[in-house]
Amino acid sequence: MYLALTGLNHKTAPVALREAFSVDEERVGRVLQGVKERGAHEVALLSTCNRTEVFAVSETPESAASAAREIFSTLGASDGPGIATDANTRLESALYHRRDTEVARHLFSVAAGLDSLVVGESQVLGQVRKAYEQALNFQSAGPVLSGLFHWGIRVGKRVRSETGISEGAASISYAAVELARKIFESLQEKRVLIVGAGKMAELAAKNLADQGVPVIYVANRTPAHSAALADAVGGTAVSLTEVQRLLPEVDIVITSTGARAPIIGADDVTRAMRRRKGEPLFIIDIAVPRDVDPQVHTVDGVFLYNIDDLRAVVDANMAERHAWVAEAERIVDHEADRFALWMKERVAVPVIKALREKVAATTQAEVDRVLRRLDHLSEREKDEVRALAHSIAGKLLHRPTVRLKSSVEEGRHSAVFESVSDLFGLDLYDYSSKRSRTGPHEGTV
Amino acid sequence: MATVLFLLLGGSVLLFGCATLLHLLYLRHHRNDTGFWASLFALLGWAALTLGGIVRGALSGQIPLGSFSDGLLFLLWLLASGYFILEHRYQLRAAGAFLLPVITVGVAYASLRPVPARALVPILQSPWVIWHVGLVFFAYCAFALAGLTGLLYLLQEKELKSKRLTFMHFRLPALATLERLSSLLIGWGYPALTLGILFGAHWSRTVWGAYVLPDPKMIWAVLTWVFYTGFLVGRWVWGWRGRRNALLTIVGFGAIILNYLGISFLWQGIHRF
Repeated sequence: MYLALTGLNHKTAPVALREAFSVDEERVGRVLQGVKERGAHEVALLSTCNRTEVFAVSETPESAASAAREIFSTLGASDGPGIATDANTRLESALYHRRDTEVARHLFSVAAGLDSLVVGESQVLGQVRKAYEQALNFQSAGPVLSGLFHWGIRVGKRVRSETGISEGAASISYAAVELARKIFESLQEKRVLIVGAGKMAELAAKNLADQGVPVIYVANRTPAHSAALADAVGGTAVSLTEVQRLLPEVDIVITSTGARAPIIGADDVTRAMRRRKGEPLFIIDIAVPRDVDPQVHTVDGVFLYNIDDLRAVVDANMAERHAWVAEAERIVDHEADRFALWMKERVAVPVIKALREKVAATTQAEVDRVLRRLDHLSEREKDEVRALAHSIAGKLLHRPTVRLKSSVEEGRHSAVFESVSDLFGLDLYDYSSKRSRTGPHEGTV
Repeated sequence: MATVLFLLLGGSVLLFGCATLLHLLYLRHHRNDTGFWASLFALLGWAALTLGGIVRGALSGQIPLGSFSDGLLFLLWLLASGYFILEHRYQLRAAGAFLLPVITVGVAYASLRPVPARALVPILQSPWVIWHVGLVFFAYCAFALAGLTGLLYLLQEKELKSKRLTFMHFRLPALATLERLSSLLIGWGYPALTLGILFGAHWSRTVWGAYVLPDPKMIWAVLTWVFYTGFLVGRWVWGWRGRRNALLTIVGFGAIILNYLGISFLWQGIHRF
C-alpha cells in the first residue's frame, strides 16, 4: 500500500483560494467518496481555515497520488463558477504533493503545530483528530490511515509535552488572561472594573466573559456609553469619579479611555492597596496615551501592564516557542522514520497472517483429534493440553514473524516470502508476482 | 545490619541526588517524562530513607529520635513526605528543585554520623518525649514548607514585577495558590507546635518540677510560637495578604532553623539534640 498527499495551506495559497477549496462538513462525505472512486482504498480529508489536504492510500504510488490530486479540480468547481475558473488557474502553483514517508512527516509536523500560522497552537491537533473521525464515519479509513492518524495524534501530544512549543500565550488578550491566572489562580470570583466604553473596552470585556470572568463595573465619562456596555456584559455602570472609590474593591482593572493625562495615579493606588492589605491588584492599561501612571507598578502588590508590556510578553513567548522548533522537528523526523519502517513491515503482514492462520488451524485440528481420543481427561487437563499445543506453536512462530518483518527492511523480503510460503505451503498466489518486483522502497523515491 | 543501614542511607542519598538533578532539569525544560522520573527517584529515595530509619531504630533498640542525626533524619523524612503531598495535590513539582538538595545534603550528613550505641538516659524514655519531639518536628516541617512556598511566592512576584517572564514564571503556580498553601501549612503546623510545647512542658514538670526552664531552646520555641500566633492573627483577623505574609513565613522559618541548628550547636542546654 502506498500513501500520497495533495494539499494547499496558508503558506502556498492566499485566503481567497483557501476559501474556495475549503470543504464544509456536509461535503466531506462526497469528497471522500470522490477520492475513493478515483481508485483510492483509503482516504482522509483535513480541511481547516488554513489548509485543505487530501490523504489517499492505494495499490501503487501513482494511483494514490493521482486520486489525491484529481479531487482538487472538482473541489473548486463545486463552488460558484466565477471563483472556480479563477481559482483553478492558480491552483496548480499552490498545490503541494507528498508521498509515503513525506506524508507522515507532513502530517506529524501539522499535528505538532509546526506548520501552523502561530507555531505550536493547539487547535490543529483537534482538527487532525476530527479529520480521522470523519474518515472513520464514512468508512474511508483503513489500517494504513488509522495507523498514520493515530501516530500523528500521538506525535502532536508528544511534541507538546516534551518541548515548550505550545507554552506561553500567543495573543495579547490571552497573555493578559494568563497573567491574571498567575496572580489570582482562578478568575471566576474576581471583580473586574472596566474604565472606558470604547471599542477596546468592549473587546476586553468580551474576552474576559469568554474566560468566564464577569465584568462588575463599567466606568466612562459619558454615562450613556457606559450604561450600554454595562448592559451588554451584565455589569453596573458607574461614573468616572467613582473609580478611586472602587479601586480597593476590585481585583482587575482594564483602562482604555481617550483621556490625555493619566486618570489613575500612584497615590490613588497606594491608598487603595492599604485598604486591600496586600491583596494583589492587576491593572491592564490598553489606552494610548496611557490612563495609568507608570509609577503605579512600583506599589507593592500591584501589577500594571500596558499594551507594550503585553506585546513584549507575547513576543518573548513566541521567541521561546520558536527556540523549540528544532527539537520538535527532531521528534517529528524520528517518528516519521519509525512510521516508514512500520509501513515497510506492513508488506509482510499478509504473509505473517497466512502463516499464523495455517499454524493455528493445524494446531487446533491436531489438538481436537487427540482430545477426542483422550476422553477420560478432566476439563482442566484438556485445557492444559490445548495451552501446551498453542504455546509450542507460538514459540516456533516467533522467530519467523520477526524475520519476515526484518527481511523487508533488508530488502530481501521477496526471497524470504517465497521460501516461507514454499516451506509451509501457504496460499499466497499472485502475491509475489504483484509485489515482489516493485518493492516498498520504490514508493518513497 | 550496619552494612544494610549504610547501603540504605547511601542509596537514599544517591537517589535524592539524582532526583535533585532531574528536578532542576524539569524546571528548565518542563518535559513531562523528566517530571515523571524526577518524582520516581524522589519516591525511591524516600522509600530507602524510610527503611533506613526503621533499621536504625532496630539497631539502637528504640524509636530513632535519640540523637541529633536521628532527629535530623526524621525531620528530613517528614519534609520529603510533605513534598510529595505538595507535588501531588498542588502540582508544585518546582518546589522539589529547592527542597531536594537540602534533603540530599541532610541525609548525607546524618548517615555519616554514628548510630548511638547507648540507650537513652532514663528520663528521656517517656511517651511524652516521643510525642513532644514528634509534634514539634511535624510543626517544624510544616513551617519549613510554608517558608518554601513563601520563597516561591517572592520569586513569582519578582517575575510578574519585572515583566520579563522566564521559565520560573511558567513552572510556579499562581500567587494566590502559593499564598493559600503557606497559610494552610502554618494552619497545620501551629496546633502541632502548641501541643508539642504543652507536652514538653508537662513532662518537664513531672521530671524537673517546673513547666518552663531557663533553657535557650525552650525560650526560643515559645518566642516562635508567639511569632506564629501573630502571623495567624494578622492573616485571619486583620486580613493580611501578599508579600508581607510571604516574608513573614520566611522569617519564621529562619527562626526555626536558628533554634534547630544554631542553639543545638552553640549552647548545650538540656535539649542536646
